[in-house]
Amino acid sequence: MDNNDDILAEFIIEAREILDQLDLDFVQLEETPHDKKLVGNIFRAMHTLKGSSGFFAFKRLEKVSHAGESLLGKIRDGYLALDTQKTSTLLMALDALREIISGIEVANTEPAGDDALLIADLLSLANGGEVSSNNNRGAIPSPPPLETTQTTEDLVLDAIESEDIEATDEALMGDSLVATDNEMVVDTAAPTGNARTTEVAAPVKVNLELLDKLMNLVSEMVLARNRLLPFTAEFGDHNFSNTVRSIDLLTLELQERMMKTRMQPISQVWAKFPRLVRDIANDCHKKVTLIQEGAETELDRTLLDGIRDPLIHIIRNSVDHGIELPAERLAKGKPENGKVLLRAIHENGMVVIEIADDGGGIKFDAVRQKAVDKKLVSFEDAKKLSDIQLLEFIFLPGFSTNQVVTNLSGRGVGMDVVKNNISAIGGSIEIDSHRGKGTNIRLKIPLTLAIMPALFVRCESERYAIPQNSISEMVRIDPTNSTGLEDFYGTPVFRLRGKLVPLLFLNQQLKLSEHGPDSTKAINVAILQSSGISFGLVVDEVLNMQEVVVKPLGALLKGIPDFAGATILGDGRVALILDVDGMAIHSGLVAKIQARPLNPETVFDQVREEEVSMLLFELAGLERIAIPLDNVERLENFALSRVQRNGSREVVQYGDHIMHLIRMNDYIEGGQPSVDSPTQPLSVIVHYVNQMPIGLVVSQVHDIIHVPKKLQAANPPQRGLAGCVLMGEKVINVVDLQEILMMRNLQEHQKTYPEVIDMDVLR
Amino acid sequence: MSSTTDFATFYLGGLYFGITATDVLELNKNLDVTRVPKSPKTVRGIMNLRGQLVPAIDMYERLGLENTSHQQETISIILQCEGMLIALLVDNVGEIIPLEQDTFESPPNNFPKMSRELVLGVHKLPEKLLLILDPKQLIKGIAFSGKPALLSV
Repeated sequence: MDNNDDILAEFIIEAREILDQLDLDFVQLEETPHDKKLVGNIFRAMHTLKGSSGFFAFKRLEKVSHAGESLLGKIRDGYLALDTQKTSTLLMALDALREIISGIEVANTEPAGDDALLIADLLSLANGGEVSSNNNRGAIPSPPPLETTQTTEDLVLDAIESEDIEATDEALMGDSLVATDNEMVVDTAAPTGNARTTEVAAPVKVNLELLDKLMNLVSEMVLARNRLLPFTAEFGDHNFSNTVRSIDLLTLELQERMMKTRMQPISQVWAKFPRLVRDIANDCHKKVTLIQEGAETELDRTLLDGIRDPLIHIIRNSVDHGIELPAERLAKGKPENGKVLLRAIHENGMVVIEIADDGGGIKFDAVRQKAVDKKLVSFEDAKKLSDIQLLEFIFLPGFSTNQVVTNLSGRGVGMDVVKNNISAIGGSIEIDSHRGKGTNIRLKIPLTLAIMPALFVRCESERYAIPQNSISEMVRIDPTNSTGLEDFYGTPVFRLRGKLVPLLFLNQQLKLSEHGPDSTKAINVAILQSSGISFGLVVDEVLNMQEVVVKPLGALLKGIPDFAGATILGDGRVALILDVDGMAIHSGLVAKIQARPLNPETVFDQVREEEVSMLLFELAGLERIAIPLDNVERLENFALSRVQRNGSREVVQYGDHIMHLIRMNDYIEGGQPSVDSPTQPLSVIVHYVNQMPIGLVVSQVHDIIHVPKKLQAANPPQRGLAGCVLMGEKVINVVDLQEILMMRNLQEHQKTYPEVIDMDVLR
Repeated sequence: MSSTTDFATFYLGGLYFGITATDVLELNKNLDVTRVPKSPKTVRGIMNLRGQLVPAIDMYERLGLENTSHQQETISIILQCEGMLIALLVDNVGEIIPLEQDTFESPPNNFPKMSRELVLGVHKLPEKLLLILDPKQLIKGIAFSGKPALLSV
């Protein structure tokens, strides 16, 4: 009996994979209707489904797939040509199959239902006839059924390294995995040459639970290794040290590889979107092309599940609300075909997913009207709100502007749900929209939930970890040279570069003690971003930065909103991980700030398009120099003793790389020769060119500033400077990094440096 | 022939308790407990059991007993119950004893209500009484229905 259940479970998984693949293939086929190989693939997949359902005596499944197969057979053999009607009918057949499979999954037996009409249509088409009149029933698929979490869901593991797959093939990786899989499990379909699959070794299916267990063991191994390391210094035995070192390296590699097994290409989720876009576009009588970029970008398995529904929602919005009707587009001078771009890229250890459309943009006036209708703002205030400020309303619950409730969108379930889902997996969402030009939504998702960088702080006697992605900066407030803490309607605040920042005291928040800070001593503040507000968390001491393995607190403790989980430290002790969103909301801070904004003109505190962030620093002879923050990867200090000479150039060992140092003052007009003091470390801004680090040596780094994007040209042009900007009354010179690098001649010699692999994935 | 059951036994505040031995995974001495602020009083904190996080239950608090011993050493009894691991912090552990069903009695009616929920019954041993605890009830009273944490798996 158990055995049978296992076979059935496998059948369902396999059937789903086949259906997903078929969805893709059909849409592809509509574009290239003469692709014989594709028709062959589709036919074989349908045949496989029929064969397996026959084995389980699933009669409905068998009949529908048989009818579909008949039609496909005719198309494959060239008797019939594929047209929209046939595609639609075949897709309806797919939907029917999917519904039956879902039914089987729930009840282990086929759900009742009548497919006679559909089968008649399919057979009639196969015989060269027409479909019956009521072809339109159910042509619009309801939103894909919410995938219930399947505990036994298996993970298709690539037996070989995923990076071995050719980059050109990466966009198709999801497909090829599934395709191989079908052929591996089912032998009934004679696999003919499918070129894509030959490059991938047969994947192995591994139970997800087993993977999690292995992951746990590896984390344990890492900690055990950490405990082992100090002994080498204690004993000084050469053989022992060497053994420990090899264990160290092996463990590191094991950990990295283990992390990779949980990573899956995002194409797994995207695979369904071409079909989704096609269906919605057909339904709204629009013409839409979906462009996918970066489908090979990898994300943790759990996160993939988490972004599926939000993405579907956003894409549906883009097509349904965003893209205009063809006639309207033509009238506006846009191409008839609307575009929806889906792009995933790695950025600073996060995955950024962008969904952009070239439609009409958000209907700002409708948002404004709705905000007034819902009594969120007064009519007078609403008139003053800028477009950027109006965007904030979209994330409020029940805020949908579509006047007509269609079966696609406008059901009042809106962007607030999307936002909640995204923040539940530690991500964030940004939205940018321009009237008449389109909307661009950016989701930032952490690479993995399991391991993340965190900052350790101390409060009273315990250590706590703060996820790095919510920390924007660390500040030390010294009461002797600042205005210190102030009170703003009962909320303690302090001034950070002229803006008020509310404070939360960790000891009070965790109810460890009642006392506030000693007003004569400096306090440590972590500036955190959460739920649209920025606040400072006061801690006793700032410790170190470390990667942590996140573990859930378990059923008994998970009701505490302040903690996101816990992690096990190198010494075996447990440290709690703070939930920044939870703290911000449950302390009442978010509500307070929203009710009474601290910095009225900057409540919607985003870097506006016309502003850019720059890093302010100092050079010998030049006081205020800035570099766009986009060019800054990291800030480092190097002891002078680490600097080595390579011919006339100065280099330092930086990770796996040799980093060349550039003395900025030598390249900028007005700079004076610098004098290194042997005790003072070098301040270095690390910038990457073609994935090679380059160190820009400066005298002192000051601050991050927000300045207008538009540079005032220096007249006459100055060497090494792109121009200047005004901040208050001060003039700040902005470096021209390209020119400096050109002077340095680095870009032309890039080929002489070793190839560098992308380390982002391993981080 | 009546059935015998093995019981793991421990002492707390002068009382003698037993738990079905098959529920007990292991015993540990002096594991570090990390305090969890705002947790229910009965949960003293969490501990690391070979990479797994295990909540540590303060048995004095849980059973409503006054902690008079204040001894430094704690012994944790690791239980597997309802699919999760929990650690019971106790003063001393006794032996594992096999007991026949015929010495067993339901808890007397004059027990306080809370104890009656937690105690399945009493084994009358020659020299003392062994109170048999119900692990399910031990956990049930603790889990509180706050908002689920964002990262809970």
